[in-house]
Amino acid sequence: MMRKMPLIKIKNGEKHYLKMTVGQKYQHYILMTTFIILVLTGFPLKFHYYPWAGSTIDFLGGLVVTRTLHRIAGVIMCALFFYHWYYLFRNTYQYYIGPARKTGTFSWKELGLFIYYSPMCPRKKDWDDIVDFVKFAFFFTDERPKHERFHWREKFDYWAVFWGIPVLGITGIFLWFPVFAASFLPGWAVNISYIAHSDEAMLAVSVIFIWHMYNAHVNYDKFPMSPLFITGYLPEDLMKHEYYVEWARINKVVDKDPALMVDLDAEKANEAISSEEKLQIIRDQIAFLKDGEGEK
Amino acid sequence: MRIFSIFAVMIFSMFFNFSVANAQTITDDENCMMCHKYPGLTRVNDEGYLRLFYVDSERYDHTVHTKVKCSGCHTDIKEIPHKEAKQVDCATECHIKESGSEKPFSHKKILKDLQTSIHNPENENVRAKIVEDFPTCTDCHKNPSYRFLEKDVDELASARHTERVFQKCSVCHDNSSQYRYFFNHVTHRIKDLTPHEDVVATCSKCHSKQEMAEKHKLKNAAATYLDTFHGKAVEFGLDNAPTCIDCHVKTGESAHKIMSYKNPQSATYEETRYLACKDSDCHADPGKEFGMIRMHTVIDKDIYPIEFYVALGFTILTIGAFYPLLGLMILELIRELFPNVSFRRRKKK
Repeated sequence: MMRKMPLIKIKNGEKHYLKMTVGQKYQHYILMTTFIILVLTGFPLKFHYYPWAGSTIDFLGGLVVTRTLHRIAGVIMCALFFYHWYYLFRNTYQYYIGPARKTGTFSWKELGLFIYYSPMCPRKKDWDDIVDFVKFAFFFTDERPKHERFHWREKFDYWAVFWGIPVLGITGIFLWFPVFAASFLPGWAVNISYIAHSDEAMLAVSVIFIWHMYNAHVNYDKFPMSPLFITGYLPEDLMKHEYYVEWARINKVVDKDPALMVDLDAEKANEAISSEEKLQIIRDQIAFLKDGEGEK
Repeated sequence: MRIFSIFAVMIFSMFFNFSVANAQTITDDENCMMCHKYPGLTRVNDEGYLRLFYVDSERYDHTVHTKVKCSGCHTDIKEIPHKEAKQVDCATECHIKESGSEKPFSHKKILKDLQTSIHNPENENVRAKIVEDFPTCTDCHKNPSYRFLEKDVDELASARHTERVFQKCSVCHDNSSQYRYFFNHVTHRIKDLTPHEDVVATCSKCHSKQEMAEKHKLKNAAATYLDTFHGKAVEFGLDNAPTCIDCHVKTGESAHKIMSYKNPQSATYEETRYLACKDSDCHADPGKEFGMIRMHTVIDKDIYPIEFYVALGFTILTIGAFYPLLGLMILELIRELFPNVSFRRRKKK
């Protein structure tokens, strides 16, 4: 966000506000793809007693294939988890520690504030927003809570994954290498890994396929699909409706530095040429080539 | 027209020859088939059940017992017509001679193995001594009944690839009925020709029944097994997936010696259980603790408290996290239908 990237893009006369950077979008793509593969290859095993389980495994090429796919996808998802940690530390260094040291203004208190006000950190405001939302939902008020860049629902999803990947990753490794696990842990550790892996996956799937899908795509405002996970930008009406504080913040930043707003419509208009201009180009070209032939 | 009829006769006779060549006649010196060849040979017994005494000689020819005379097993029948015959005892010394020695053949040794196992009601580790529930030979070894019942017509041959294997052997060996008999005798006992599902199905006849498990103070072994990766691997057709016998019988031992886990001789005895897992195709080098991984996990507070509380914890977590969210979702869907309705309107700033 702090790099100079367009915060607002204008297309077809409508403003679109930046919500996910390109890097975040790719992290989400990897998470999404591996998650779907893991569910497709893991759930037929969990629900082996349903007829669709056998046909899903056969469709994917048999148990040997699904087992391999599950492990590959699991390893990639865990790698993404480690990358995300690196990403968090790198951002902390790049956007606060580094510049603050260079300017000699580093303080631990400010570092704490940097982390506390970072977009995904749960804050007191999120709790207030939940309370306000419940008031709104029970018709006590007609005012919706005003959210920042990521609201409490998104933070819940984020932290659920943050806790879920280590649980599923570690238990997954124990199930993949049970001899290794039993070499330093009691036997029941593998048994509880089995329970935890399967139950935690069930929780993740219920939350993602119902709660996350509802919030991101299926609710009244966004149905049938929000463009956010593909473009990284949200249209102004959605942004103002759901992320009022962020909408106001971006507007303020763009007011100060209009270079952060890119008008794609104007660029397109600049590139467009009229019929006269087109004909002029063609005629000039013919004339130039003719002259060349005459010289011979 | 005539030429066609000649062809027809030629083709027909080809089939005729073929079927004659394959036809076998069972050893019936005693002339039992004089009566038992009739499919309608029936009687209502004292309990009121209709008993069928027909013997399908074609089926009998294809079983392992085809060389045994009827009186080899039905030893109490001395004359024809005979009275109601006793149930066959598999430990009978039949008229077949063991090859290599001149002794009469018998399954006695296997019966002895079975008596050392947990499937003997007299075993000290048996929890509930309900003798009639304990398996006899025929409960697991379903030799095809020698009469035809509609549901098991193809059962014997269909699950195995014996024909294909037999074709390979018959490249050198004579394709005679004698040879086929020995072939069947051997291949029937080679494990890989027995599909894994069949082993699990055999044990499941008793061990998947909840009421049977409760009666014998056991747990549902088949269901808990099918919940493990082992059971699922068998279910979805993974090669070399372990069946009941692979873990419950020591390597090289008779499959009949399935013993209680409390018996030090048992493959599943806690101290040495990990050795049952040790196999180059399974778990290469397991430690002792590896054998303590439970393969029949029951979510039961008294037996496996750790598993029980972990499962309980995750259930609470799932219910506690998911259902409130679902509730909020439904509330919001209702709320957004009436965006401007409320009890108290806040003044717009």
